[in-house]
Amino acid sequence: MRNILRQLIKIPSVSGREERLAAYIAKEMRPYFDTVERDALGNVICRKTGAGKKLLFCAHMDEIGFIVTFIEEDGFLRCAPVGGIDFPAAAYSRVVFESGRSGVLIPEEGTKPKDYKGDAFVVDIGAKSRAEAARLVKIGECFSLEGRLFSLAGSRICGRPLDDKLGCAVLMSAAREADTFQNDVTFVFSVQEEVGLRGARTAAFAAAPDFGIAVDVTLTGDTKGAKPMAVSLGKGAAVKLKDASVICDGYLAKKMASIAEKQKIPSQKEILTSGGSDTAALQLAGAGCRAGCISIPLRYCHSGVETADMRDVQACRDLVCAVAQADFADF
Amino acid sequence: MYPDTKELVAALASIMSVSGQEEQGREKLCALAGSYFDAYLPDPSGTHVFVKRCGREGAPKLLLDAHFDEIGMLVSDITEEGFLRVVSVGGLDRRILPAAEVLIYGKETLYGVIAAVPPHLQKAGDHKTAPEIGDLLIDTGYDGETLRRLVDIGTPVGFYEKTASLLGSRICGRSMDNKACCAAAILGAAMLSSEQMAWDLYVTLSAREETGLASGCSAAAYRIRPDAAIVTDVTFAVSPGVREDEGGKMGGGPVVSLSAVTDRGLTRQLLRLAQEREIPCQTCVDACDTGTNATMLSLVGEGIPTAVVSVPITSMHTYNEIADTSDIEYAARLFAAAAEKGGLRL
Repeated sequence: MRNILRQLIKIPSVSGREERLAAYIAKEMRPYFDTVERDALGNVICRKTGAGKKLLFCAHMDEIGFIVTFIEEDGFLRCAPVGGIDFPAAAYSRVVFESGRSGVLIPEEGTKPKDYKGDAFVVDIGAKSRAEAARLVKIGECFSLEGRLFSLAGSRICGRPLDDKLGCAVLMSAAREADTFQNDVTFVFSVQEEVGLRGARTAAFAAAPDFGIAVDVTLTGDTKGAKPMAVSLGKGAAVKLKDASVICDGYLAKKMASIAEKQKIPSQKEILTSGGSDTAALQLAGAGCRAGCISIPLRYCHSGVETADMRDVQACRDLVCAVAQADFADF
Repeated sequence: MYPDTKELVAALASIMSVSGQEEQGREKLCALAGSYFDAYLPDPSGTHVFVKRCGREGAPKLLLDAHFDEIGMLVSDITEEGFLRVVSVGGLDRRILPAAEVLIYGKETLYGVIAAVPPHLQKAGDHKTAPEIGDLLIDTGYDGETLRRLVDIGTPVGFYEKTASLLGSRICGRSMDNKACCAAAILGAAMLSSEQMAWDLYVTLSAREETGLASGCSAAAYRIRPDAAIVTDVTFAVSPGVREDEGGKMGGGPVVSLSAVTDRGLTRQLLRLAQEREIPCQTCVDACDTGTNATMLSLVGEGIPTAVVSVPITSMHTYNEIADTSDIEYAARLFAAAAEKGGLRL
């Protein structure tokens, strides 16, 4: 799983610019599914037909980042955030462009950290003039904080972007068990989640599933100064009940929790008071479906040091497989 | 032959289309634009749909959307003394409303002026704040009884129509947002003959853009199910108070949006077409949201690859928006090129 994640992190995929990652994932998924297709928005849609219920699992490929808006006379770049950038956390960091070129993201001199936002930042790519910068970087080009992955103590991992390449890795690993799936299963690797839960909506419209299950990261309540929240790193896959964008389907949440219990997969319940997920888009696309989410607990979300526990990641993978194999005859 | 741009924009701007009232203009609009298309399809969303076909069975569908509605007001009350109270429809600039000339589209079209308190009588500090819409009164000169006969609650109110020519190719007046782009879409269709076309072109002059995301554009697109879409709307022109990185240059050609929510492949093709056909063209960056119909249009059904091509205007959302007809014509040429053989590819 760690190897899958490492490969995903290497390929930049700022929202709207997911093509390269989509091509990679589509190629990797082909052996495990009956069909692997790209839709009009760029989602990767993998289907393994089966006899049971129609299940759609969805992890988003896109990561938060920046887009170049303007090149100053002296060669500094101006940029705008794509998705929910935490500017204080991003200040003085190395950034990497789609071309592989590096730059550093710097607040204007004298800006107080409380005023750190898009307008106050420039990117120094080392260019000495507008003409030089314009040769190296194009307006509209995207970049993000450097992707990286390293180990902390025990089974903890750290780096970025784990949101939601961890979810993609969970599905890609689960795909290896596709032969055992009893239901009619579609894996969606979605685009543009970070800019409004967009890709999941068109993918779910096309698939019209009975159950839509997002696989995404969630916050935890176990960091210093965290808002109280009953999710901790290392306590297993989190079955979402609610976040700021959605109230999950009651039957599906109970079903997933009971599957986890029966299969002895560590799990916890999640209520997230801020932040949304593709779950909301799945729920309301087309004629709607029963929607839920398997969440991977993540500390320091949207920073350069997102931290997760591989045991949780493994639990999420096991739960995806168990749900895909489960009998929904009680529904 | 295709119409004179200034005349077309002025004629479109003279059709009242305050959000929610778009269908009232159908006859006038069809008289203006109908001859450049093969068919007009009414749509329950209030969107006007014009179709120009290339004549081949199963040809791909290109949707070209320009919202037809304009900001304005609705009468909310008629006072005993004969003044009209209004609510706003869309994002009016409250600073410019006192003393504005308006038209009240009742049983007859009435001329009115929004009452303004003389500076001599204003209270200290009044000049520092813009009045609330609910505090404004429209003076028509009629008494309350006559007014109640001609005007009802819900009667639309628009800015006075007087499209004027400025120097060179600039024009000025109400509702350049978005009649400038409606004109570009119609003009683009007028430039095409079916033999030249590789796509069936659906021009949607759509309802209710100014009042939120539940735009008539998406509803119409759900029925049409196009293979690709271009949304044309106005953007900010670089002008006093609008920096170079915040807008496009007037006269510099249409502004193509680079955004996380538009289709990059389609966008690249449009930029390439503009270059090949030597059509002046510029780019702007709309990071996460284009602020146009494209944001939701792209999510209709199974998804629609969508690009945004804008016409820069100044003084947006006032009664004196300024546009450059050369930008409208360049945009029209780009739309025509897109639908032609050798234009956009799927």
